Amino acid sequence: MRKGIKGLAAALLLTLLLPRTVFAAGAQTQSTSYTKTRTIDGEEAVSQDAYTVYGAYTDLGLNVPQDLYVGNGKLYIADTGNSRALVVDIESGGVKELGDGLMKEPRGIAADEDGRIYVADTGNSQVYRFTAEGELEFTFERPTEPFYGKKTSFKPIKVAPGDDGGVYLVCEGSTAGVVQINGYGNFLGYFASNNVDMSFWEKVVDAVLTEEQKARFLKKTPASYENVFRGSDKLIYTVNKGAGVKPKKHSISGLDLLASYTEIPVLNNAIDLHVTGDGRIYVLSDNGRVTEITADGFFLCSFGGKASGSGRAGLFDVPAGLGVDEDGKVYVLDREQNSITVFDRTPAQNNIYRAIDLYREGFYDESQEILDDVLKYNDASYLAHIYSAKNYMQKGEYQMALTHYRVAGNREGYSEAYWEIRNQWLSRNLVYLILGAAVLFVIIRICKLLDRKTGIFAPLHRLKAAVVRNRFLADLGKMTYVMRHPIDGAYYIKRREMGNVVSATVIYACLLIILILYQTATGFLFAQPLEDYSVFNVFLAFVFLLVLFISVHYLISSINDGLGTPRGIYVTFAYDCAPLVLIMPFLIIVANFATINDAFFINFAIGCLFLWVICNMVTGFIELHDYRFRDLVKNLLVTAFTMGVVILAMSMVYLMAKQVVSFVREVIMEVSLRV
Amino acid sequence: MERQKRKTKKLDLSIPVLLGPYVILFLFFIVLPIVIAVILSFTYFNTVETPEFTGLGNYIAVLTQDEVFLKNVLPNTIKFSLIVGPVGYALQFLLAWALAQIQKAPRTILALIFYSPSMTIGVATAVIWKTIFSGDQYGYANFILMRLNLIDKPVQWLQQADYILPIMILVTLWGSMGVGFLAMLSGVMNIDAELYEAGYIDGIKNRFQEILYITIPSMKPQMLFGAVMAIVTTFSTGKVGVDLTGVNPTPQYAGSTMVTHIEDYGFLQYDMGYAAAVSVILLLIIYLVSRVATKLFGEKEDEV
Repeated sequence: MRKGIKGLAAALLLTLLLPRTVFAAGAQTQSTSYTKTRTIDGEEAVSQDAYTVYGAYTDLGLNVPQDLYVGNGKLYIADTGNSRALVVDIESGGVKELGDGLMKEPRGIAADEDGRIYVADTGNSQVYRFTAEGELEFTFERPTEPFYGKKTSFKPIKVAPGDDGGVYLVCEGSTAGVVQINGYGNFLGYFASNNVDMSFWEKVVDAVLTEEQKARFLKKTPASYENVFRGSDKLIYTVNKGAGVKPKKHSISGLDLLASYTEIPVLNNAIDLHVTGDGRIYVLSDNGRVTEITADGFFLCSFGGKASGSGRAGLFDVPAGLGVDEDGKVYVLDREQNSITVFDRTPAQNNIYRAIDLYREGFYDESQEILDDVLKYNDASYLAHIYSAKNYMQKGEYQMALTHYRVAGNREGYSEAYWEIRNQWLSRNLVYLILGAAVLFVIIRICKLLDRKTGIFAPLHRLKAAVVRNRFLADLGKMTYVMRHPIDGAYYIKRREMGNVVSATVIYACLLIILILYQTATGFLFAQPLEDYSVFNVFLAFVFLLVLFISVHYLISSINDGLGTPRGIYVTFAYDCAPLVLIMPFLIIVANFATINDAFFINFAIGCLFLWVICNMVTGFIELHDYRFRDLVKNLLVTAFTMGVVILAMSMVYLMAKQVVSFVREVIMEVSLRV
Repeated sequence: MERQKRKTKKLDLSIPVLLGPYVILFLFFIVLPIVIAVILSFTYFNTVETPEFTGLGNYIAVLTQDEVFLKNVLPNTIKFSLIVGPVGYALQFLLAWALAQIQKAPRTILALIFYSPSMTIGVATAVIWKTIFSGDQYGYANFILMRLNLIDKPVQWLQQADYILPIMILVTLWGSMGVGFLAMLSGVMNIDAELYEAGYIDGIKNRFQEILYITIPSMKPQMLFGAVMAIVTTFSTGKVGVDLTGVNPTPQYAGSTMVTHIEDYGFLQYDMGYAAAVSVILLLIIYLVSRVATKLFGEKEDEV
């Protein structure tokens, strides 16, 4: 409420100062800008307002304005429909008109630090530079340099200031990049050309085809730019046209410096962007939402939206331009409403900025205090958790950092924090671990010696002998033998001297349990999220595939001179998976103590295990069926194909059955309704 | 009786005389350095002042405080040797076996060609592989990939963390046909041809079974020698990363292995005690892995 009154008072004050501009400030207390932030579930959800409508410029007499630039305490507006440009002083409200009678269709506007104004006039195919006082200083024409392109047209639509009065231009239909022209009108080159997005396959095709074929088949052009902005850090920021784009920050050679920031949100149909002095990026999209991104590439919040004729403040019909002033107020130009809406940050948002700034300056304790406060009111805030974790990482409190990373679902951060915790634990306990291992080794040696001398472990030996005598347990124990001698193993299984259906079934059950554990119990870093995990589905898929494989493989081998019986195939396949059953549990345990840094070793070990199983299977099946290698390959290929056909057929039957069921149900409902 | 006794006395002397040169060389060039390294590893020694005894301090520092060692060097070393060791070993055997199947003249020439990279690996990497993976557009890899439009700007093969280790592995595999390869070649060629004939009479059906049942079992000593040599070379040829990138430590430690880590501490930071501790750990690792290899490839009785 206090905030409302303050804003109202400020707005009233401004209204008194600006006779020409009406501030519709009264609406602000009810109006919400529908702020969305990222929650810990990774979704964008409505949260407390980060920005509220502060007011609006409604009577500037705009007619289909197409661009807005904010800087030097002024608003610069490309008033396209009136063929003029406007400069509005934010403080005093004074309005200055530029280029009456000179411009035809001004669609882009910008200003540099010296206050010089740049206007891109699409209709006249010219770009004008005005002095800060509004005198026309220079006119940029279509470059005459040959490397601009002989037939390339010059239709500038957006402009950003370059060095010494030069310009960066986005031109209509230009796919070659941002046009860079120096202060004397000389073309310097295309800046930051976009790449043609090609899949690997297309690249291969591209490498093979001749130029003529390429001209016919591969008609790909790079994406063109939508807008360009020059930050106070002198770097060029751009957004591409179209869906699925990310804002880009270009180095002097045009490379995208934000490319490695994985958290940057993907935007659709971005229209305009603004970068503040401390590196925050604001992007306006055609759905009326303004997205704010931190300098570290994290999604801060988005606000605004489509008005759809509702006329509510803070929503837009056709958003056209965006700017942010030194106080952090956000200005959005709407070319249908012919107005500029002003947003101001709420105290909640100010807190988040303060916390992030404090973190960047190294005041971790102070930053954390604010973040704790933020989390008290909204403990689902992804950003607050991430920055809390970063603070704790810097402070060396890795357990806290781990908790916050885990809540935020950030695996890389979690892995880093966990590495530190593990390292601390190891440095404390390594000596004991080594000592313990040494003591254990000595004890085992002594026990063996005692056993040989006095025989005190005779009961254990008797137990072992009993285990070996037990047919079932002995059969299970043969896994270690088959693992090392798959050919002999298959031979004995074929002659029914080893293994039986029961022990094989037990092995399959173990395999299923290991599969489930592998998917769910490998720790936060490697396991699948438990929410959408269904043990029953995994069980069904496992049993179905197993039964399908064994029956299809048997059928195929029986018409291809294979000697294997269903029992033989069932048992041999189970025993061939022995490495997985015996070694995988250790890997699952190890995975719980691994970081992303160590993932290579686990994946390597799993790869080796699978290779082992495949070798076992190939050699075992060759022995079982009395095949040659090429017979087995042929058989397995046919088996795979048949399995595919069966699955296809079954899914078709399933779909048709579903149709029939729903048809019958509808008939019954229809009948029961009518009768 | 008397004469015989004198004769044995004379023989007794001949053994140490004949063994002498080897024992002396072995003591001075192998045993002594190892002993000194072990002693140094318990000290702080900067090559100028007298070594200062620090107990187990160096080892504790390596295993608990050296983040670079634990986060980059050790994983790199293990990754590198896990791939180069087994793959290089398999390549050695396959090439040796394939070469043994052809006539003498081409075999000798080809064996020489395969063997030469392992002798010249230091120089060759600088000349050949640095040219191939040069970071500008004139490097062969960049040139060809750009010609094919697969990349649109030159890739800094030898400076980007993602590529260094794979390139190291490739280069080392290329140069891995060393002494072990020659031993295997001689092993394959010295197998009695009658064994194969007997094998075919007993029901061997193809070349694969021939290799599995006759070739490998009858050249176990050479296989073991090749395995041990492969392990030693993989752990000790980690320097190829420094040869390729031209700096130590390698960019972002992406190609740093234990050998380069030892060099870094010993000859760049002059912390000989620490470097000695790392080399003792390396020695222990090589010893342990060799033990495992001996178990795997050495003679043993199979149980049923």
